[in-house]
Amino acid sequence: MNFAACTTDYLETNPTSSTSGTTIFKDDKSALVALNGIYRLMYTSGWSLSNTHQNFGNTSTSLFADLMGEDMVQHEQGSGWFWYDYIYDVRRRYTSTGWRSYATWNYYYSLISNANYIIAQETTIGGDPANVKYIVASAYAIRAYSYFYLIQIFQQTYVGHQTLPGVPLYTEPTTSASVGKPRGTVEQVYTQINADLDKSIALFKASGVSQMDKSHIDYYVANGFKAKVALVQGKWQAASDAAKEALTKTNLTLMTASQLSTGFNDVTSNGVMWGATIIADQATIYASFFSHMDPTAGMYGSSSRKCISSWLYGQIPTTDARKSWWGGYIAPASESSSGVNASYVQKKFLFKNVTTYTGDYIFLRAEELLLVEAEAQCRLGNYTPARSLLTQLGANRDPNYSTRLATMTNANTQTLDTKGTGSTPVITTLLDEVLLQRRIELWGETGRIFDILRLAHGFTRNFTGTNHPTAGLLTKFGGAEATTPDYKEFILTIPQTEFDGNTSLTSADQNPM
Amino acid sequence: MNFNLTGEFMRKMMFMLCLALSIGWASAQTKVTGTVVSSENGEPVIGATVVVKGAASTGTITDADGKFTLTVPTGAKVLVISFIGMTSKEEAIRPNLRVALVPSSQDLDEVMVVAYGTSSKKSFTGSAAVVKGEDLNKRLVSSVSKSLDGNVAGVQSTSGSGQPGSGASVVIRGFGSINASNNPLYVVDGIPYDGNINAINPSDIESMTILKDASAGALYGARGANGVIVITTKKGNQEGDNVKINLKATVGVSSRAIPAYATLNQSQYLETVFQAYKNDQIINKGIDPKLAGAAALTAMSSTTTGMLGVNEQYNPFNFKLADLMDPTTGKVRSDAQLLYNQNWMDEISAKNPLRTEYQLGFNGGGKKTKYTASLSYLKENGLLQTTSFQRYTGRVNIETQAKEWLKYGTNMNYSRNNSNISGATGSATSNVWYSAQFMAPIYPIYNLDANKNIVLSSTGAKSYDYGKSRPAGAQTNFNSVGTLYDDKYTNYSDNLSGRAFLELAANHGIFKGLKFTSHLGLDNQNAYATTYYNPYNGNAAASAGRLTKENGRLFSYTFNQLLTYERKINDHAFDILAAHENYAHKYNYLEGEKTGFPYGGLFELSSGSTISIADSQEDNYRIESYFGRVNYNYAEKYYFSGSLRTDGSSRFATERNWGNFWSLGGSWRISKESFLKDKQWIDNITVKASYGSQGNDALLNSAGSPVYYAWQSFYNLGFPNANANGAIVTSVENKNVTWETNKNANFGVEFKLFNRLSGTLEYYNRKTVDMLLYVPMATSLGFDGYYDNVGSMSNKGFEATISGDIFKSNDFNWSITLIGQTIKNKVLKLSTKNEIVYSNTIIREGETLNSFYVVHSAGVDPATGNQLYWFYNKDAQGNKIAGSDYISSNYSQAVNYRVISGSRIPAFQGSINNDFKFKGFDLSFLVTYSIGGKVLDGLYASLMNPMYVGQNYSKDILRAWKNPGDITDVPKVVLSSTVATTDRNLIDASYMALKNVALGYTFKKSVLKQIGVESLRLFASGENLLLLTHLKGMDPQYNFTGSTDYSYVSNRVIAAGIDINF
Repeated sequence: MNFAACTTDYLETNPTSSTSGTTIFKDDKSALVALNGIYRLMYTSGWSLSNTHQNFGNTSTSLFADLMGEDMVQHEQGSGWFWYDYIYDVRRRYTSTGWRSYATWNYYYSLISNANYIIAQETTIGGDPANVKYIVASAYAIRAYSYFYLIQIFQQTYVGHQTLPGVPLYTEPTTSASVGKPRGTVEQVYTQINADLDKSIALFKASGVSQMDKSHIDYYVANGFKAKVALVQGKWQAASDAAKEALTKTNLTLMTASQLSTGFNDVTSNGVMWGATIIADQATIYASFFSHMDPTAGMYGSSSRKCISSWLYGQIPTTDARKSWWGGYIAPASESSSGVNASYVQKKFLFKNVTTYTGDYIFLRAEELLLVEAEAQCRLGNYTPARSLLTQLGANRDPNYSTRLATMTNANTQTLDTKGTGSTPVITTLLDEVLLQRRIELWGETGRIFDILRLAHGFTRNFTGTNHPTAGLLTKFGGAEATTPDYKEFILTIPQTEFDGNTSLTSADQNPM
Repeated sequence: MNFNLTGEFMRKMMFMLCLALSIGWASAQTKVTGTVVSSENGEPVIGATVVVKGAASTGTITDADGKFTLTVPTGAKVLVISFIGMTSKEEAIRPNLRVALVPSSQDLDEVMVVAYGTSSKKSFTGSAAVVKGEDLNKRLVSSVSKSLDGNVAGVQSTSGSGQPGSGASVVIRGFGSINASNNPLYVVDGIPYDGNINAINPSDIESMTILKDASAGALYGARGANGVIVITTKKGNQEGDNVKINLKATVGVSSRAIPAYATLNQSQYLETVFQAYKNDQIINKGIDPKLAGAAALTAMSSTTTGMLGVNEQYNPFNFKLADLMDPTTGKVRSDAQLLYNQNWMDEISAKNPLRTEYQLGFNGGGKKTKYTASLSYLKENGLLQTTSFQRYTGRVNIETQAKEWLKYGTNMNYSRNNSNISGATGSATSNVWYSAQFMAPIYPIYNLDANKNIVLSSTGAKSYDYGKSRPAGAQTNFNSVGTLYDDKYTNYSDNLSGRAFLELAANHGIFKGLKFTSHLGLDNQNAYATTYYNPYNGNAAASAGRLTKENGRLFSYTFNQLLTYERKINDHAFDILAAHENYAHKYNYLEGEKTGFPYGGLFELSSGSTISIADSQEDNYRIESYFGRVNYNYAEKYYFSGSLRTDGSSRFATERNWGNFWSLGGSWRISKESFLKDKQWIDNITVKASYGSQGNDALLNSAGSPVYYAWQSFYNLGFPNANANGAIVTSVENKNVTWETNKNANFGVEFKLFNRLSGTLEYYNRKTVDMLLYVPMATSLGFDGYYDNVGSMSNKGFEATISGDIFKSNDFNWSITLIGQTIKNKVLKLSTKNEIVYSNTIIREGETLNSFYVVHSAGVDPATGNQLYWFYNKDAQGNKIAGSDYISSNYSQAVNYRVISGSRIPAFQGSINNDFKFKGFDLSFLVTYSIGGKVLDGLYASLMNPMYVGQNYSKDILRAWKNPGDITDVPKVVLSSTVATTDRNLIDASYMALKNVALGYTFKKSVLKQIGVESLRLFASGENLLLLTHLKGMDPQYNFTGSTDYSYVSNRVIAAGIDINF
């Protein structure tokens, strides 16, 4: 017992689990702790104050963004997780801190504020200068990555919408004196993203430090981001160049045939450029990507099966190894209300070890950048390199791929009837093929709605023989609206907490209801 | 020092004190002898003071026969005879006197425990109410926090969970804070209490004083703003070698205090679901309404929906669905018979769970030492199977007057609490208050054979249906009944509280009246919790079980040194206090969790294969204080009291961590004035007023846990990335954050008339300034906010307590106490923005805290069955243009047309307490009531609009719209919710409750004496006997904000017992 009440430090208490900013930015070793904290956030759950089981970082974004499209089917409501994203019933819930608007906004801006604290210390962190460059480069890349998702989730795509309101931009660390910023424009956001990526890439290059851990962004991953951003902006050459540069990463190869069937829970799979290793005591159990995806684990994914749309499944040749990522058609009478007995149920994403609730998250694969490069080359009219890239991808997937590719015409127009009026669409142009390969290859990984926004073509789930459940048919949109390229429902509403605390915004700054 | 001097004890203490005082008295010439008796019964008054008027130093006290002898100086004319609890009398000096003293209004002289000392009621300038131990004794509560409802004006209470051993939340005089705690400070035996309230055996309590205003509570400085509940435990009070032994035993049973919501039976349920599927076919698939009925039946029986499982296994009737229901009318055929009927909630509810309580108390003393000791055992079984609470307590209180100038004592309480709880909350499937309560009635708990008979094993055991074919809303692959038995949540806590004091008093000479006291109090709580999920089914089936062990250790101590000086010079009486105190609180937490268990029933971590959590942390919180108080009165007519406390708290930055709190109070006993003195019917009229400031540093986070380091910005190291250390910023620094201050004004009148009607009327105005607000930041800054002192809020109200003796006689007495109170809460100022908006509530300047904020219903469209809403046009600022209302059915836009629609705070609430005594019988009943306020009953809303197929509906759904032209207030039933919360979901919160009835019979002493028993009472009591509300099933007292949740229903207890003293 300490009765020394009158000593001066009696009233100075500190938490045991925290440290001060001055301590953490002492040198590169300690600053690395601040950087790793951000990477941990990317697979941490709890971004909403309730419904935390559907908010677990990067992969929850790719899941809800996939479910907002037409290629992923949520077979049934299950416990309701992601269901309201799927049936487009989250925008009106912006006043709640338990739903998608708040969780997403809070998540990316938390990454940004943490990155801003690191960036602000660029010149003051001691220790090894090369490592400091690596850390600061990472923070710039994280900031760019976060703004890139925010702008895609909370506003229509770049092309044609440059002058629309963007999202508030911050490049300074937050203090209690910080004031909320206005929305600015889409153009300003993309300018900041590109500036951050250029700075990041330059710093990574100057540091000469290679990726410390698969969970870290490095020079190549930063180039990958640049390629993805350029693709959205329609800057085909830049997209192609950055993707090509990213793919020069040492020892980078594409997934092997065996990894294609089991490798989507393992960051050591070939082609994985960036991803998180989930260890047992950091697993988020029910609040995890595999909990929602795996139909065999007896968790959410078992009672709320994620399936591929029957249309997209039909597009995959039977010779394509990827067809085994999903189960085929099962007669309704043979389906059961839980487990794998559902038509077109996904098996691409399964727990690595369900006892420990572990399975690694993949954030960026070489295959995605290969498809970015292929699309960019095709758009530029460079069909030969585009075909060569597609051939690389198809090689260990479909023995008949070259035959299939040969049937495509050299054209960079979209002819595929994405509205799916009912007639069997025929893939005819090379661009169609690249885009189709994206939908197959990256199913469950990159968020289909972002492509729908980018490609400005809307979608329908009510195609002939649809396997979307009734509630997923979006009849409330009155049929035609979902096919509108920049339909308001495709982007989220900004959470009420932003309006409560941001003196630069009024309710008039909300996205259209 | 906490004296609690009442009745007999008081008299005897005064006797002793006066003996001591008599030593210095002078001798003189004339001898007077006399006898002092009580006018009431003619019995001698022992220890009455007899002094010569104008020469207070010349006097004596009466002996055991009420007799006195006094030699008075020549010239002395008048003697003043006084005794506490009786009206003083002046008598002309005669050689032989017989004086009859009239008992005075007892409650005025009653001594109550207040902040850092005691006070007689008449001299107290603040606002306080006392709940006596004898009133607590009637109650069947395991936590005293449940006994305040209806007993004290100005207190609001929740009903509290029915989980055995649990308590209720209490607020005093409204809501002083938005982001800091609204809980009152509990003080036990003079020291702020950090332990579990339910570690205190209510029978050990002598009294509770509720300090309501600044004058009463400002001495608690930084922690007193929400009022103070001062609990004083029993002390030894026996004279000589007498030992009193008390035995008390109570046996009772529990039941639901609040009935279940009225839900649908099997055929009503199927008919309602049919309607939902039919509507779905029409709306979402565009099927002709005429054909939709048949399509609905097909959908219902499909395996994919799982509605009826495989092969209609969950069809409870003796016909297949196609034959059972008419696709045109949607009705179940009248000759259908139920093949099984299993109710999930009934199955897991215990039938008449027992509550038993045994207590043994000793009270004794010698010349110098007095003591009490008690032991008690309580076992309370829950309404929910598997839940229970066991408590073992032991208390010892010893006080020794070692020397005339030296007194010391210790008071130790130990309690071991064992709880089996139902640990899951909210809409988690494992929370049976959600899953079992609202399970559709068609699903069986146990596996059934093809003939719908329960499948029995060779040993005759039933097996749970884990419902792999049930729809998700009906908990696929889950059986909440099975889970209740197979999973386990236990809590053990060891609670040790000790209080010790040392008192040095100067009784003579120039230091007479000076006293030094030091108290040391410590609270040590060691809690150990186990959460176990079985490896076979439910939550952790995938990971082969999951076991969590949590250990929380709390140690806190308070150490103070008090110097008091008390003197009376002629008509001037004063006492002064100066003191120092420090408080330190340390909390250590350790958690371990493993998964991967080889089989079930292993409750220790050693058996698990994989560590999933290994964590620990420590928190420290300290306060240091200097404080003082001056009480003064002139001729017991004018009273003044002032106090000042300066507190330093570790919760704030060094620059801002000291704060000053103070109070001033005064009272005027008008009845003592000459112009009223002659009015015999006026026993007392006192007016009083006080004003002061009190602090609140108890910051809370959004989950309601304490925030100890609010001003600091930190990197939280709890974010390792795989095996690399990781940290993130979790808060924004604000060195300016400091106390929130409550400025409390209190005005009151106390009266007692005709010696049978007494009362207190008070008005308070409590204004919170520098409010501790989690100031909303733009979420885009990476934080939702930071703590700062901005904003203000007010709570104002009237309180009235009126007691009257309706009937008074030797054999029959009937008295009534009426309590009534109002609260008006208003948020005066927030931050830079004038409102904080939540899903269904709003905090807005100029409005009541947590006002409901919902769109207004415009009824149901007779053509479509859709819910309609009142929308309106907005001006450029987004405000409503008056009179621009129009009707819309657009539920997804409804959120933008919300309006403030009342709050939970009632217009008026209070209680009626009746006490009857007839010969040896006593009967009392306590009725509480509340008028006004609203509840947004989420449970009812989910029964009217279930989120999932497979959940039951409220009976009110039978009113739902079905066909075009139907006029109703309930929209059509749909599969996936398409309604916004409207004012239709707000239920009138008014209620009336029969809170407690107690009946007792006390045997005549003359009868008992023969068998060596001092007193014997038999009693029966009932708690939460009746509740009248606007909606069956709703708990209007679930919380203070007016929401409800899937939680343990509060319980009714009926018990009988015996209370015997030797």
